[in-house]
Amino acid sequence: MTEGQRTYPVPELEQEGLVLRPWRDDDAAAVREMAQEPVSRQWSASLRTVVTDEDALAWIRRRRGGGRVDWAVCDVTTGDVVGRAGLHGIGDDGRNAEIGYAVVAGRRRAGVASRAVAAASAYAFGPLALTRLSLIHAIGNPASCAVATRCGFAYEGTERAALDHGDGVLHDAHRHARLATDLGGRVAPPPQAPPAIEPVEIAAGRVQLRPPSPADAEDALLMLGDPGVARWNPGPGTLDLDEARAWCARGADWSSGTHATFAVLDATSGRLLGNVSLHRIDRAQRDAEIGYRVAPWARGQNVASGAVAAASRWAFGALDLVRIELAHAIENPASCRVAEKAGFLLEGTLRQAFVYGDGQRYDEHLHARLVTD
Amino acid sequence: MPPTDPTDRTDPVQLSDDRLLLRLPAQSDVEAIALACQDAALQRWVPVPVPYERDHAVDFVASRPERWAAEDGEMTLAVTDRTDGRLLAMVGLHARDAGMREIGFWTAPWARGSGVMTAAARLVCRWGFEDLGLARIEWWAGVGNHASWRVAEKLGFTREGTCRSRLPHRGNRLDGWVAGLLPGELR
Repeated sequence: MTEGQRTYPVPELEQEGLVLRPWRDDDAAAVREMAQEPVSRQWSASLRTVVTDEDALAWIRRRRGGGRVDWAVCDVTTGDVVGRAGLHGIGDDGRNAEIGYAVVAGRRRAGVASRAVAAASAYAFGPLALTRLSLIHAIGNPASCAVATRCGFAYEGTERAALDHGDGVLHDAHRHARLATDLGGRVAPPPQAPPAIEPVEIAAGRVQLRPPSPADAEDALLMLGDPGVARWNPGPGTLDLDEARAWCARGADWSSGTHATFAVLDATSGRLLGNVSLHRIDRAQRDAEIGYRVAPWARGQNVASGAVAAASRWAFGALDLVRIELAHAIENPASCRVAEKAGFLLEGTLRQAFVYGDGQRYDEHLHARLVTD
Repeated sequence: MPPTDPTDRTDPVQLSDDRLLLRLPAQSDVEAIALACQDAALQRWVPVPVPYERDHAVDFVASRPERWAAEDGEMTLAVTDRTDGRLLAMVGLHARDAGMREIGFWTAPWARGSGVMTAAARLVCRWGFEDLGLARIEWWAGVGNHASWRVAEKLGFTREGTCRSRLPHRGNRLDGWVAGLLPGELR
């Protein structure tokens, strides 16, 4: 983000036991101390650069740069620096800015951030006459999310790979914002995303289940190209090897919390035999669907029924599910045998229920297994 | 790959016959919705909040336009009396898979036994097949919900199965009946 060249005055603000005042050069020791503390370093890219008193002084001087208003947040009685708050990225049109803050270790969980954000916001919407303030925080930082909702910054979305925590990976961030016309006061928290599912490996006798790996791509390509698989397991369509690697990598990412996809391997040779996937996992309603593919070289060996039974047992336990559904076209009797062997009772025949890989709509058997079966 | 869902991004419609007008629920329906949802027979099968408060109806109405358009959404219509505008029932088509939707409905206690629900659901199913191009409409109800089944049966639905512990219902799960209606089967 480019910052406007205009420099802004930094007024002194008082708010419920805090005073927000301009930074002074003699705050350097306090800034260095704040920067040495692991939590501040984790969430603040700018504090992470501060090691020496000289770095701290440079940091303070940058706070006085253009397009920003930055305060030392101090205890009104002792005068100690207890944190920082600032508006930065004030646009050339003087309408938008982003708000940022930090609190020193010993003063957390005492509402310092909320009070400082309230004071800075009041100044932004009052004398500065901004129309919109953004608040962006790493999704791994729930304390910041609580400050945002308490201070009237409504959740607007999740920005992928938006923040550097200094650990070499870019992390997803929540964007919140408050408008000058908003009423203020607490706003609704972000919708609860389903909890990510921790990838696991399952040993099931002659077969092993684990998240797919790009190393499976060549065999996966052969499996997906099999006419039976292409017909009854409408999947990603025709792929090349690179796309097959990406398809495997996607299957291994369970972070959405809505699916758990396993590659099924020969426990001895390690060769890919098929896959089994729990999908449409709903942790709140405690149900899911299960599907599977068997590679042509692994048919007739009970690979699918063993893998489906093992994955279901895991899901009833680890995911606390109560019902798993399994649907297949009635023209696919092999799948019906898998369902029966894996303990999925036939509950009905849904007519014209699903479009399969040949573009035709088929009647389906609906099977299900309950945790109590 | 399944074809694109023809029901994507359809704007709310109005449907009518000589007696009924089906339209998007409005804030003027709030009192009637809140009153209907106090009914014990309705609460037994319809997963509305219990106790049902006026604010629930306000939120329900307010969220309808957005839910109508959502990919996993519900096309909900208020069933009203064409002459006096009174709310009689609620009916919706809920997103399921491409080319397929699930019908759901409830009847206000003051409108039961008059054939209103069957007539309204018939309008919705016909619209679903003719305008949305659906290949299947699905009906689910708790095992024992005979009143709902009578409506579905009159429309030509075929019962296809009984699913154990299938329908989440206020922290519990009910066994469910499932039925399907295909193009050409609507009566």
